[in-house]
Amino acid sequence: MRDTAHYACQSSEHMESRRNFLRNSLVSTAAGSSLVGGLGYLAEGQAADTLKAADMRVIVFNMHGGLSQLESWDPKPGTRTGGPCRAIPTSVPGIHISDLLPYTAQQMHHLCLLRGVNTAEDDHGKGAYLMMTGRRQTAAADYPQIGSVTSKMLHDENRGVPGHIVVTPGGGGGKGNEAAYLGPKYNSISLGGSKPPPNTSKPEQITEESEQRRHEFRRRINEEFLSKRRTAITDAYTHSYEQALRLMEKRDVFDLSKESPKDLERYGDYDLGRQCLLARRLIENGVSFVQITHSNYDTHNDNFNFHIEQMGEFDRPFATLIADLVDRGLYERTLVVVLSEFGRTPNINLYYGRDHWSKAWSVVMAGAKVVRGAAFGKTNPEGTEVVDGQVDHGDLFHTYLRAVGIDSSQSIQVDGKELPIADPAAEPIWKVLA
Amino acid sequence: MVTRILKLLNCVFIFWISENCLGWQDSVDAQEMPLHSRIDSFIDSDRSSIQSVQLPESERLRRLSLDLRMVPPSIEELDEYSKDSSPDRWERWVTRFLQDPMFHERMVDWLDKSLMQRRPNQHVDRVKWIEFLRQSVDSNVPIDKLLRDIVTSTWWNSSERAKQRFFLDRAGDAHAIARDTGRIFFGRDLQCAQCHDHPHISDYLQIDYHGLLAFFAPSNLAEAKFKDEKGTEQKLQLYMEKAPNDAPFESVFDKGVVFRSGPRLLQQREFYDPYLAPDTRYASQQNPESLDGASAPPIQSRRKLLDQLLSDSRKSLSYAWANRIWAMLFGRGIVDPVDMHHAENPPSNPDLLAALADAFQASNLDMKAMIEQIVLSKTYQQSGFLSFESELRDGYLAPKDSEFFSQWFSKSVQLSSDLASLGQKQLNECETLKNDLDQKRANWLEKQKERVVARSDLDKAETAFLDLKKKRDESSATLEKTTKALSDEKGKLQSFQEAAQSLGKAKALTTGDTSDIAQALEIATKRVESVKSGIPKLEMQLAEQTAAKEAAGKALEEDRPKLLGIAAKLSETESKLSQADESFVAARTAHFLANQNHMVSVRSKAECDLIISWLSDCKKVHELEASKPKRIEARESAQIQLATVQTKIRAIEEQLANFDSELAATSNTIRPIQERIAQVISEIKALESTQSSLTATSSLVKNADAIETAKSEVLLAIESRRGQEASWKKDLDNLAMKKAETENRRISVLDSWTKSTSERTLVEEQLQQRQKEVDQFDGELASLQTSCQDSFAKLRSGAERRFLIASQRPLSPEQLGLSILSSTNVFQNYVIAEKTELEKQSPPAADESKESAMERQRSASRRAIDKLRSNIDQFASLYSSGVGQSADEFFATPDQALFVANGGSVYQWSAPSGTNLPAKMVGAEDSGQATMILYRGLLSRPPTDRELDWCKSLFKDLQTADKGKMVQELVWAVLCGAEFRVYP
Repeated sequence: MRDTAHYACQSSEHMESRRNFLRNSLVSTAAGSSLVGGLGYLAEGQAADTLKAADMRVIVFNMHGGLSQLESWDPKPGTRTGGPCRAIPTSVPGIHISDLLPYTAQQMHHLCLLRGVNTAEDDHGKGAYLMMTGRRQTAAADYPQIGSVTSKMLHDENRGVPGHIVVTPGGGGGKGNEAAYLGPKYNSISLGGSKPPPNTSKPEQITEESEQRRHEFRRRINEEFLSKRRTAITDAYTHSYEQALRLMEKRDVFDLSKESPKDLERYGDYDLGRQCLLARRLIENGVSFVQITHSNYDTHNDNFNFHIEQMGEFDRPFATLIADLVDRGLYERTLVVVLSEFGRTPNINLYYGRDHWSKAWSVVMAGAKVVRGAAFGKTNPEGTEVVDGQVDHGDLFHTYLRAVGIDSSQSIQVDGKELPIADPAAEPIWKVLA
Repeated sequence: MVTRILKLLNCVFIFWISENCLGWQDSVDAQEMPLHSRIDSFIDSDRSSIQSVQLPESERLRRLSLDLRMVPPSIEELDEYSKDSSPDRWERWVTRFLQDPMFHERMVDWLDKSLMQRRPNQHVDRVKWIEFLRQSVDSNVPIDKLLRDIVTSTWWNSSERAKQRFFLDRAGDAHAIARDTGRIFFGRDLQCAQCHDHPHISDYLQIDYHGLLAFFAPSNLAEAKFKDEKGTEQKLQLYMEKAPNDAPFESVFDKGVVFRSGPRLLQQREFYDPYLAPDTRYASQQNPESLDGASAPPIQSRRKLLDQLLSDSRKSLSYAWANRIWAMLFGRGIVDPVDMHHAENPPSNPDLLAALADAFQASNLDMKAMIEQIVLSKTYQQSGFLSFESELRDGYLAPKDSEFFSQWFSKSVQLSSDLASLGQKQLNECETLKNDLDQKRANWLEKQKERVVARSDLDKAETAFLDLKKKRDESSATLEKTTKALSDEKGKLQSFQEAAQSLGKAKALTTGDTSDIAQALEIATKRVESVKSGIPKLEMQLAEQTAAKEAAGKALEEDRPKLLGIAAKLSETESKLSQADESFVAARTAHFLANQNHMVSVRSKAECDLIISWLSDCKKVHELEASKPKRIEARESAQIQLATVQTKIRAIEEQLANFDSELAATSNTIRPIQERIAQVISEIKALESTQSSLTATSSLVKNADAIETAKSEVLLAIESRRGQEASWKKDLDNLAMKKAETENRRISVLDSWTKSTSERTLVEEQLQQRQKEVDQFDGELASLQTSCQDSFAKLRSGAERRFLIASQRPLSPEQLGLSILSSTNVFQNYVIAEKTELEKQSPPAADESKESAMERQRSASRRAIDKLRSNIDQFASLYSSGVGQSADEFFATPDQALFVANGGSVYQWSAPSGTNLPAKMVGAEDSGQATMILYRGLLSRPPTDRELDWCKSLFKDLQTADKGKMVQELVWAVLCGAEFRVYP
């Protein structure tokens, strides 16, 4: 066991699945064993490599608080529930969206609206959970979020940048907790504004020379140990320090000032504008999953003024991002999703607000393998019920995965258990997949 | 295991699968052996020829220290250990570390993670929870007692709240609690059996899940209010126990077949509570802390039942926890994962686990004693290196020692075939038992159906009874209201009467104008009258309502026997069910054991076959390698042959070339001669034509002499030319002859050239063949080597899984954090400071006992840990698996590395300061000593020669200031090296 890296586990993912390996290598040779299903390893071997080579990306817009479908994707002007906003034509004849989204309307031919979402969950926390994980929350089990699943499946560590980033308007800098049983490796790194991830620059008091030397020492000391005993653990561990150094070199990826002032102006020099530009920069530089949060849509009071303001912030940078992704040839391999924890009631309450509503609302998907310029699903004239193309969080989750080429029916092995990556009771929405 | 299996082969199988036989059939001698020796003998019986090398002394102490104290040994301890030459040195150091204050912290950390699995503290203060664990560890509370303490802790008693954390921080969710009780108490994760029988694991049934759930449902969290010391109202979530109420359930795969289940421990029998009418299920209020919202405990407490079961039968508990303790010390369980025990995932060494569990039970589940025995074993002290490791090359072992090799091979072949036939027999046995199980299950199912019917009858009766109860309660509420109204009215009457009386008196006593008094008196009298008139109506109502209440009460009581009668019917069906259940459970157990044994054989055979294939691969590699020179030689001789032929051909070709040039030269000579001949011939022709014209002319001319003369001159000229022509022709003939000759010679050489070239083609073909053979051979060798490597990697992990060699395991996040803090003396400095503080608070007596000094040391360590907690937590947050995972799986991410390199304080801690390790390095006599301190202090081993040379070269010609910096860099580099990250 000297020079070649050859240890107990053959797969590139060995560092977290020592147990799996054992089970796989030993028990699967045992006739009549029902312990190991074949599916689990799909994600670990060749299939995973092919997927990583396909180089797909995901951007999720989380419209925090509950975006009103009526003031965005599914307007009902002139009805009891429509409110004061109008509907405007888009670049796709026949599809109208709210007049609060004039720039987005011009990009409609790249988008796919899903207007028949029914998730039957009106609680913020539970609604957010089911939209992000594709499953209903239970106390006994925890499921990984879309960002963890896709970064596990899509991200190639050799790119030297993190796979899963959540851009937060506030502080950032922490670590998320979205990965559940996939393991903390797939938790997000959160970025506040345009600040790079924490600890990515060397402390001031360490001189360049000293920095070089201590890492040289580290390598030298490891070399001595590894010449005696080299395993998946030691390899992964020593590699993580080299990855860290690469990330430090790639610090510019997170530096928005490297983008041109003209671009910043196109996106808008405010939180969401900067975040959208950052998302473009991150995607271009190899990050597999970026989540942007736009807050706050929980408009129990004064729904219309709030939406005029919020949609006003959202419209231009979102449309610019879509146009840029198309221009730069990233669109074919980038899925963009605009989701929320739920929609808002068709009924307008006494305070000109709309309340929580999950029975008939909308989600937008765009890019990657999603059909372009389409509106799937339909609500009735007052928007109080889905009349066609009803889907739920589980179906959507399958569809996100399929849209970036992931077989959503596969399972992952964790602790000897086969865990389907998406709810087996749901199915992809094949009609919106090209 | 070999011996055991051979023994089993002679066993009567029906006897063998009985439970008695699951345990090791020890001889008397074996029973008298201490547990640690028995551990070794169980492991040794499984070895075949896989032996491990013992770990070097100092690294052995490092492993022990990390396991029992979470930190590496100090240099002083290493010195002391190496100087200790007593024969029972290891025993003494085990005892010493078990008495170390840090051993208690290690246990607290382990129990905390085992029980709470890194769940955040939401309802219980972390300090209080840790305090509870510390108290348990200090008095070495057996694990069953600890778990029972948790189960029986009461929600109304604030002093027991910390223990309730197990429930509270699982949000009181019955499913979460049931799942984790299965996993943590009994080593079985039944989560996937919640909605149906487990799809992959035949042992995990839905009834097991719901049986476990029945201990905890329908209890949940509820809010209670209380007043704190300052009198302000506080809110508190309580995990209250409610009276049992087992909900019906069905399998999502088989809808319509309804089940009910009372409490049932995994794979054991179900318990049936005697029936209590709904109004008699709770005790009268028992709530000494006057918590508003806290309910009284139910008369039938399932938690008490669980407590009872845990104390009665500690078998499954001791099995699961002996395995957990083993996993704590080896990085993996004998059943692994520790919460997935079922027949298809059997223990890697069933006899060992059975013996551990028996011993654990016999010791009253004394964890410390169990730990002690395990670390005393040789198995614990072995390294990850195989005895033949040094001879290994990329997973290939040259069979130098052919005796060893062939013995191992033939032993394995024999064992594999024994195991195959054993496996077949076991499989047949399993099938028989499966048939029996199916029968028992069908019978049980039928009885279960009857129970479900009886139970739903009872549900209906209960609904009717509850209706009546509701009516009675309503009527008594109405009555109460009326009673209160009446007494209110009577009270009013009395006070008005009193007012009227005193007004009357006042009027009588007053002189002068009494009109206002009279007016008041009038009002009072009126009021008296009006109240008085209302009273009879109320009294009548009261009488009616009393009667109604009595009637309602009577109706309820009349219904009660009916209800109880129906309940009795349920209890009849339950007692029938109970019998069916007992044989069902017995059949399950029998099948489980047979199945597990079969799986053990199957696994053992798989490993045996792995050894066989590896050994034969090694042999093939060896043979191939041995024949390699021969093949190369053959190729080389073909090459030489080819070269010879080629030389020959080259010579021939040279010859041919000579001929060619000779021929060309001849041709060159011939050509001018031919030209000249042609010239002469044409001249002759011209002369002849001159001659004939002269002849013609002479006949015409009179003076012909001159012509004649000319004619003869021409004739002469012709003749001379003819002569020339003839001579040239002769030359030409000669040359042609010569050319023909040369050509003949060339043809003969050409013939030999053709022969030689065809020879060359042949030799070339041969050479190609040889080359192909060599290539093929190389390919074969390479693929054999790969297969060899693969089999060896599997063999190694199999050996690790069976504990024949140590597997590499990382430090836990807490161990890593504390080890860094301890290696840089940060932790020790905190302990000293805390100790000083404690001594200041209560100065130790001159004749202080050892115990009290120890106690202070322990407190100081605890206070130091508590103060450094946020530092340790940072490591936990970066290096630990998520909440609810059964163990910390290893993973490495750049953000961990970034934290150690740029954030956090690791680099600062590595700087020389005070008397810490870096400072000692700076102050060392020479660079050799400094290097010693570095390696021994941080890695518990002396540096290798290479390392020593390297460090010495670094320290050469260094100024003191630069030395400090270099030391800091070096210490940091060791702390984030792979060797520090893992156990030795």
